[in-house]
Formats: sequence, C-alpha cells, structure tokens
Amino acid sequence: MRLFLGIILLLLCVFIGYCLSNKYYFRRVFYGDFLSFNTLFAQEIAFKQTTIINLIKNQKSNTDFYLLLNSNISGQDVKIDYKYLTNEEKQFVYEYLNKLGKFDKETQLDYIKGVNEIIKDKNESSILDEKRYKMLYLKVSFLIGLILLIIVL
Amino acid sequence: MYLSFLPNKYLISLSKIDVDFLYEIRLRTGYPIKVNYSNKNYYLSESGLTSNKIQSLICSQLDIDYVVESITERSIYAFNDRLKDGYITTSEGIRIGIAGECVFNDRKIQTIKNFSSLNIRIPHLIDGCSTKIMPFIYSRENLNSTLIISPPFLGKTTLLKDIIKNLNNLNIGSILVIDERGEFSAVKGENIDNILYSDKNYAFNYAVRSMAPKFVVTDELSTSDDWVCAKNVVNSGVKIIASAHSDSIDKLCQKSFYIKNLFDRYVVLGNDYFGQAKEIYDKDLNILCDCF
Repeated sequence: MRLFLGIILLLLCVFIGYCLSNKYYFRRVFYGDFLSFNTLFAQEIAFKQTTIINLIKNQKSNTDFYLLLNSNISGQDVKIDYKYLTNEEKQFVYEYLNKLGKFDKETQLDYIKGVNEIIKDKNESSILDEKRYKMLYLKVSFLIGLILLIIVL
Repeated sequence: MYLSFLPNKYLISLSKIDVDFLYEIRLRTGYPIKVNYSNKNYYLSESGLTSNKIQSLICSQLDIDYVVESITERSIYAFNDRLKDGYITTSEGIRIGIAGECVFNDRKIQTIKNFSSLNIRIPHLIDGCSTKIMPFIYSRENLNSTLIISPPFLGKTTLLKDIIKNLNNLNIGSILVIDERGEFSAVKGENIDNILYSDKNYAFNYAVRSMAPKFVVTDELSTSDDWVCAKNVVNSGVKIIASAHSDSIDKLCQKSFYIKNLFDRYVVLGNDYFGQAKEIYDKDLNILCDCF
C-alpha cells in the first residue's frame, strides 16, 4: 500500500514538473511560428503580394500565434494572455499585429525586416531555454518524487 | 451580399431599400452619408433613405477605415498600385474612389494615408441596353470599331458590358477586354479574355499580339497615348470598341488627342436613360440614327 502511494506521489511530481516545463515548449512553438510567418510574409510581399488573409488561410495552423493572427484579421479585439510571454513581449506582439497590412509594400517590408532580428533572437533563446530548463524541471520533479517515495516507504 | 465590405449599420439601412437602383454611395468623415438612388440624391438613414439631413447616418473615421481594410483584405501593400491611382475595385467590379493624404517620394506618389472620403460606385448590368445599337456595331458579319461618348455617370461602362455580352453570345471571335480598373471583372464568357489592372499601353501593345483577339473592348480613352495605341490596334486589323468622356461629338472632335476616322461608329449616350444611346454617327460624323 505504501509502495503504491509512493509511486503515485512520484508520478504526480513528474506530472507537475512536466506541466511547469510546458511553458518553455509553448514559448518555443510561439516564436517558431512567429519567425516562420514573418519570413514567409516578407517573401510574399516582395514577390506575389499575397494578402494576409490568403496567407493565413494556407497555413492551417491552430497554434497560439496563428490563433492570435486569425483573431486580429477577423477584426476582433486582440488579447494576449499567454503566461509564457513577458509584458514587454506581449506589447511587442500587439504592435506587430497592429502594423500588419497597414502600409505600402516598401514601408511594410522595411518594418518586417527590421523586426526579423528581434524575432530571430527570441526564437533562438526560446529553443535554448527549452533545452536547458525543460529537462531540469523534469529531473528536479523526479528527484522530489523519489525523495517522497523514500520517505513514504 | 456584394456590399459586405460596408459597416454593419450601413448594411442594415441598405437592406431596407432595393439595391438594384443604388448607383453610388459617398462617405465623407464627419458628414452625412449621401447615396444616388435611381439617379436621385438622398441621405442614408437608419430606416433606409431620407431627404432630411438631420435623420442621416453620419460617417465616422472608423467607418472609412473599416471599408478600406475590408476592400484591401487588411493588406494595403497588395493594393497600393491601385490605391495610388485613387481607386480600388472589388472582385464584383465595384469601383471605390479614395481621397486622403497623398505621400510623395522623389516627386512620385508612394501611397495614400489618412483616408477621408470614399466614393462607392455600384455597377449595374442592364440586360439588353445595347440591343438598339448592336445592328450598327455588327451587321452582315462586319464589325465596326465603335466609340461610346458621354459625360461621366451616364452608363458607358454598363453599355460596354452589355455589348461584350452580346458579342460573346454571337460567337464570332475572341474578345479581349482591357480592364484597367477591374470594372469588367464580373463579365465572363467562352470568348472573353480579360486583362485586369494593366495600363492601356502595355495591354494594347503586348496583349493584343499574344492573345490575337478579333475585337478589343476598353473603357475611357482619355489621353493621346490611349488614342495612338487604339490607332495601332485598328491598323493591325483588330476592331475596337471603347468609350470616351465628352459632352458631345463636336466637343470630342475639338480635343487635342482626337484622331479622325479611327472609329466607324460613334454612339452618344442620352441624359434621360442610363446606358441608352441618344444618337449614332458614322465614320464621317453623319448621323445614322436619332434614337429618341
């Protein structure tokens, strides 16, 4: 019975660790989508001048970034309440969405190229953070679970 | 609805009238919304149309921005070339004239921003409006190059659309429609090739060669370049049907770009009926038909 309880505690700790580490996964996916959209958008503007609506239609992605884009395009009030983004990052994304499609080709391209480096940096740091902290969260939670198991036994 | 680019409150008002008779909507920031309905001017109110300015809906800056965002699919960059010319045409052929602050760079217009006025012109297909003039354009397997003349807003484009439709039904050869503003985009058919948003110079010189049409149809020959291009087309054996702004045939002849004997027929539209011919002249400007 004690062994069973200890194993349950161990699994619970690992699950909590996994949930806490998920923010790094979502953050990496968000910035990955953000960067790929920005790159694609720059290419499409420069050559085909595809409208944003058609561009998003072809993406068929339901991740957080595309959900934000879709709500912005459909004219809804954009609320960014993703906890894995800092307030400064939320403001940056909000400004980016507000400036989409509002300018002529040259001005829009200048803006997109200007912010590309920032998004690229964020994307790289989110990949590193995921690698660094996700495993750490899992290991620490496993260790805590193991300690609890030993105590229970 | 083909006016779905308008704000919802406008659509609710418009749902109370027969939009088949709606020709124009004028939006100006901070002013009442004016509409041309059955060739008479009214204001748009919550209950439909009104002659009373006080009851009119007032156009806000948000309304203008909403319309521009809708028609450009929230992508100004994709429509900027047309925006620079002062208008955008929707896929249904509705031409929306735009006024605002022009941004210049190296003395060339770069874009228009802070939009303040919109002129929404709603096209109409009047079935059979060209029936009366078709025998003068096409008879005994002979097509005559024809110029339709009238001041703005009397139905030149509407008449041209019906002529294209009739020529397509006659099945006598390929029709190349040079559509600078996208106003003919709704006119389609098995013999119709549509070149959209190209300037006349390019379309006349290259598309005529590549598409080998029997007839070319285009709207508004308004510069000497347009007339010279049209002359080259006629000289290459292709017939042309076009329109031009002028009050009368005499005033057209006085214009510097006018080229004598370029067209076989001149159709002058009347003020009384939208898209209806008043007089038809031959190549030497002798009257062939007084339609009223």
